[in-house]
Amino acid sequence: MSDYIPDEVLIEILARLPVKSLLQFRSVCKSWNSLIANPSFITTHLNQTKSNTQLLIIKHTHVPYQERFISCSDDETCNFVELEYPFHSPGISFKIMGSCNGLLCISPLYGSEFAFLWNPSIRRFLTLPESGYSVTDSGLQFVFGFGFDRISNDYKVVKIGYLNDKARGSVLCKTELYALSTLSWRPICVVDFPFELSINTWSVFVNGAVHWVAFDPAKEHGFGILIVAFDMGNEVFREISLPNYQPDGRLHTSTAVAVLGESLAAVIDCASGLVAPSPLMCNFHIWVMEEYGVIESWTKRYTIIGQSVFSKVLGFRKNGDVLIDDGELLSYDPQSHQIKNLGVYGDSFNVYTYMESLVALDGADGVWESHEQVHPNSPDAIANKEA
Amino acid sequence: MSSSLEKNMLILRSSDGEEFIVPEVVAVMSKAIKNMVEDECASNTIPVPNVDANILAMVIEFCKKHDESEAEAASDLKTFDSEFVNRGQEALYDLITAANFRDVKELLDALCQNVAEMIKGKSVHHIRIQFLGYQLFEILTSNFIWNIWCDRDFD
Repeated sequence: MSDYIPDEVLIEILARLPVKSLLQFRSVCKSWNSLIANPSFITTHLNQTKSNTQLLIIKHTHVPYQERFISCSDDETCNFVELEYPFHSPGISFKIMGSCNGLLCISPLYGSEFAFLWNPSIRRFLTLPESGYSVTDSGLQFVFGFGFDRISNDYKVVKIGYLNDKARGSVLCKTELYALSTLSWRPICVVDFPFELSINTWSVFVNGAVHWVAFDPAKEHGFGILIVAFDMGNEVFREISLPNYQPDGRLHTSTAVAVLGESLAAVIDCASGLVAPSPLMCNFHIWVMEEYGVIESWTKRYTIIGQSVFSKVLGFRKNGDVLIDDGELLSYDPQSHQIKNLGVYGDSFNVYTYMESLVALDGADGVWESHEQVHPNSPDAIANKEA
Repeated sequence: MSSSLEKNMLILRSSDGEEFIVPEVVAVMSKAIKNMVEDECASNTIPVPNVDANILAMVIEFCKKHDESEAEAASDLKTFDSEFVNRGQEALYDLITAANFRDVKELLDALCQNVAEMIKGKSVHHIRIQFLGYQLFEILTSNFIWNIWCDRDFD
């Protein structure tokens, strides 16, 4: 390539490279550096790599207590890479609250106010600021949602803080929105939010909105389980009914939201009844909303059966396989009902799909921190401690 | 259109004067030629400046294959593409220039993918020499401070 290559072709070539190469190639020359950090190149690169998804797994084991961050390629090879512990917060366990365009929203396991945005492929993270709640808000618990607003081209985190007060019923206290463009929280006006969110809930981002499973105490007979969505564009909450499936009339407490392909999916447990006459247990029904927002389009896609009772559906892989938490991480083929053990063991898992991206590479230094600067187990940090 | 020319055929003339008779469906895989044909500014012979006969023949070979093999398995076409673009740097550069200038998207995609594969695992030093050869002098002299900065480890 001894001659001049036009910029538009160079962009096409570089957009096909993995993030690791691009980080290195920033030092080829000034023009490559500014090209690679350019927001429009970052978007071009993202669109090229979007189909090449990975799984981010947070694994907890209780005895002895351990937390591990693992990245796994979402293909047949399942190459596992243990990621460096990203945050310097010893003693706090984390969960993933959302994933979008290579950025993950991470917060502590038990409903605290802290949250981080993290891009594992460029090893950078951003600590979201505290909102400065007053003492009267001290009992607040928090649930997060994370997504991208295509209209304003901005990443947003929504934070719902509420008091879980059994005597008064759940009272929503604070709902705030963080925009990456402003690096700050602002309150959003919610007229009526009568739902309860479990702090163990997680969110999925699909069709421009974040979705959680919520409970509406006002509805009769405990059938008040529904999906609450927050639209990142027009910043309003709305309700989405779950598929009308209550064959045994009991409370489906382990209902969860997920993304299957590009569609919103619901995982509904099926009372773990026997599938007569075989000895197999029915574990979960997977419903898919074929046409987003149309309640009538909920379709039962498949039923997960097995020889034992699986504890939890974690999500879906690119090939449609279901990820199941059963004390080990299982990949379940819904067509053949074959189960593949992925060889990761632990007491609980949290899995999200993400992709390698350069998103936030153009973020201001000093706001986004790189792992190296703060990694507590880095040789420098240990040397400093010893000194 | 000259009477001897079959219907739906076009003549492409390379920069060094060689003429190629190709089906219109193949020629219009170049968006630049397609625009000329649609705007009816194409006479019976379409000049393709900056592309010599050698390179033009390769581009036509590629377009013909892609036109014929619409029904073929995508994997076969992929194999053809990767073999087609597996050429020396000189030809690769000329092909990229032709594909870019004549706007042949499929060819440009295949070429860019090939170059990306070529440079994926290479060192920065290697890229500077191979990819930006002519700029090396400039990089080593006027960007002296830049080079010091670049010696930091990115990852």
